[in-house]
Amino acid sequence: MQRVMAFLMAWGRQKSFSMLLVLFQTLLVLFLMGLGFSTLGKASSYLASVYLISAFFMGQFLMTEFHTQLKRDRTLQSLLLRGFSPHVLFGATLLWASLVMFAVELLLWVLTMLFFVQSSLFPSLQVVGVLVLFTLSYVALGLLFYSMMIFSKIPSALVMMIFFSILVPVFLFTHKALDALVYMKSNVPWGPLLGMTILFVFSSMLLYEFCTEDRT
Amino acid sequence: MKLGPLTAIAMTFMLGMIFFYAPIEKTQGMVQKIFYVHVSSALTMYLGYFIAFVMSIRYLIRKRVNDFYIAKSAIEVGYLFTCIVLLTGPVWAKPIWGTYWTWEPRLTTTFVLWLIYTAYLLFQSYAMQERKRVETLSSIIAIIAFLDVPLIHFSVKLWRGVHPSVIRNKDGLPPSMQATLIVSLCVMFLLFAYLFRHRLFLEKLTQELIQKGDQS
Repeated sequence: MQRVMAFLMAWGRQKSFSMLLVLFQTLLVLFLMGLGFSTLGKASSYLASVYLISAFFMGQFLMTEFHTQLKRDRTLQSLLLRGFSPHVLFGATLLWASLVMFAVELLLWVLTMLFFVQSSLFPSLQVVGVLVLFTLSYVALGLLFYSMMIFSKIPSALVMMIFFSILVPVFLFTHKALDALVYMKSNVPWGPLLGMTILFVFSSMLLYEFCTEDRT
Repeated sequence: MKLGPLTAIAMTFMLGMIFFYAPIEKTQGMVQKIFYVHVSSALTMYLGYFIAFVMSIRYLIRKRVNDFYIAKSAIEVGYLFTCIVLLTGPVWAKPIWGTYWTWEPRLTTTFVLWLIYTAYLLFQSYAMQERKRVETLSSIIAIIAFLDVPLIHFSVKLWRGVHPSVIRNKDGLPPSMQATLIVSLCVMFLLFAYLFRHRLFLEKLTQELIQKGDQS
């Protein structure tokens, strides 16, 4: 036991970023699982929580893979040096990454429905709408924050920590919407979801230019 | 009169009003007095984050490093007020709710806000190897983080919590309590101004030292 503790402490000292990342991820998972807010006194459904946790980690995997590839090939730098507008570049990467992420989300949806033994495995049009908005917000913010890894030497763990924290409202609204749709409740927050997506996509598009400015 | 002594006198006056002018609340008793510090700290925290948001936009447009220092200092002082909110809340909650902390929507979302700005401060501390890039990237984070603030607070409306809403409730406070709250708010703004001024001065001294170190 002492050896295990000594190993963990040594690892923590050497890899403080990784430790912090684990802490933030744990907090986020606990937060998502506790979204039913126990004080309401009702048994909360964890379907939306489990689905969002899976989607979050798959999205994180996709974002990391996507950006690691771009960093290795220096694709974004090359395109920027060839005179591509950062806004066009952002729009194109947003479209591509959103399509891939959306496909993964649909797959995850079917698996979650199987796991929770729901009558219909496939998402309704309304669920598709919520997932599209979630994907756009997630990917827009993801592209902005993960591009910091490409265009600077800032540690990826640090970028991820900020990304986790910033994403919380996206999860809050998506969770509420999915919970309402799956359990036939009437209060789907369409307005906030749409507003948030527009806000995040446009602000990310505008700010992306500043992430890339030293490389153009 | 200088800001320091003025703040000290104003704080003494505020404490006098809290303990001798404002009436003792019938159901909660003396512990309710913490409300004046708690609510005014919460509003001051928003002021700090708003200043940081505006100055970060200004920095990205004008590229004057002074704007970045103002934003950074405002976030640090605002963060201090977030810590005060998170500390005074549980002290108030224990005798009223019977527990220091509950995963109630308002408490949870304030904690999330604290996490977001913790991530910002971590970014400032760890990403020092690229000072110039950090200024731009920090400004981007400060802007996106502030966009989260209204979203997080709007999300509270989606869940019914046990946290009281004093500001929106017109009939909630008697005039003497309202006057004490307004005075507390003004004093907290004064305290913010005092701390912010000193933090900014310290930041400029630090940057001068770093520049001298770079030259030598």
